[in-house]
Amino acid sequence: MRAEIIAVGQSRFTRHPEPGQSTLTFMRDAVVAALADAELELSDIDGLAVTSFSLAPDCAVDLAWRLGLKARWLLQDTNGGSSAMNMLGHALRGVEAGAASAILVVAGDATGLGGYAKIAANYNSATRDHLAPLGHGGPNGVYALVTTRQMKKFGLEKSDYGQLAIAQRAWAAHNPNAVYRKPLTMQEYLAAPMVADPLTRFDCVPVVAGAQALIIAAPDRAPKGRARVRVAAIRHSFNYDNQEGDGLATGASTFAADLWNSAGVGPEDIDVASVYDDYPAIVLAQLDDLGFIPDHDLGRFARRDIGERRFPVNTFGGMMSAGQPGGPAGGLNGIAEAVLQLQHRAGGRQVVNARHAITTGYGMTIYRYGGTAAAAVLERVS
Amino acid sequence: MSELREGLGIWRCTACGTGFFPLRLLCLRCESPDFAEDRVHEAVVEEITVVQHVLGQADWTPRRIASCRTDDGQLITVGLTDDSQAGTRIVLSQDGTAPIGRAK
Repeated sequence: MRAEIIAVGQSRFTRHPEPGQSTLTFMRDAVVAALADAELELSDIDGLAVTSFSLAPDCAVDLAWRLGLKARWLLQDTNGGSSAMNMLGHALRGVEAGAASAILVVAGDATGLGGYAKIAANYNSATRDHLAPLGHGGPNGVYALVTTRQMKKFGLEKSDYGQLAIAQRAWAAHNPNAVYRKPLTMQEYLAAPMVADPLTRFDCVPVVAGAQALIIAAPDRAPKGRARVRVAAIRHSFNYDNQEGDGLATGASTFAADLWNSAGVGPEDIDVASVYDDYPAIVLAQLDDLGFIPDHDLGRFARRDIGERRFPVNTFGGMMSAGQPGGPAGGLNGIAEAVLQLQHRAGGRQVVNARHAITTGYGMTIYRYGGTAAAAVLERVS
Repeated sequence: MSELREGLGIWRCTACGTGFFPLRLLCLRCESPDFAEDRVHEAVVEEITVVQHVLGQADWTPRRIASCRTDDGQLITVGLTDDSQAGTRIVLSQDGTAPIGRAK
């Protein structure tokens, strides 16, 4: 049996959750939206995958209980910015293996700023013991060093990263769910307050509360008359270099050729990309690893292909404009956007005749940079 | 703040001699599970940032942190206590479990 992504749903994303709103309530809202999008009832669902930095002490089964969902397939993923892609892969295989017939994939967080700071300082034992005591400022400090390294190696200017922030903000203007939609100018980008040099405010994702959901099922469960979206290929990488490199190649470099070969298309066939944008440098690194920048001229690609919007990247605004409800949910947002684009349901941000999309995940800052990466090629089925 | 110790503790594989920071469970070179503590004393700064702002912290004193490479080959993120720049050779010390560096 072939499994596909048959529906998407999103809660409200907000910088300031109201009293009574929690990770669980945002997840509920995303689930309700996804069920409505699928034209299914909760009783039609028999599998659940969830990821969150702020679900504890609850677990996946607690979410199932609170929702009233009886499941025969259950997964809780802990791979941060790669969790969404990881859950997608497991859910596709779960349906295709017959372990479940329809799986809800949910990600969300409502940490608040203080909660996020605690998570950042206790991300893993290496961070807790060797980075947090330095006042490294969470991932911002880590990726400031990675960005400096990338600028040196590729001769990049600060404004090159601004191209991505500005382009994504322009896309976000057409996404009613994005928390920041006002156009951003290069002057504003360059004048933004410093967070951890060279990273300024607009290089760092805004922490929001919110949740996102997908439903994975056989194509015949999808609403009639809607274009189908299948995952042509999906690949993952974990701890690809033991943290012995420079972090400028991601784990995507280990599977890119296999991904394209399995998908039967290449980078030149991709119409729209959802690239995990925890930091602009990591977007460029992933695009380079995946073969979108064959001459490895990252600066020119940023200025021309992204800046002039020749290549649509993160058309929902990316996490940098739409908001990051924890790394895990941020990744799911990108997948949902790719589905909407391929179904030609993306409204004012629709990429004309989009047929192929790539979505990626990146995360779990082990010590010096992220240790997980994933990518999937999505295809509109005629 | 705990007492500052000279040098930085690393873990050296007793079978092949490769040094690691942070601690691994198996040696990446020979897969031995046996390590002995050792200390490294100097490194060269490769990249620096100044953390100016941290979420949830109203009164934040900017901190300088750096990626550096020890003479033994470890890639370590340290807190800098002076104005060392990229390329500066630093001496390493240890505050609890935190690696600290200053210009030699």
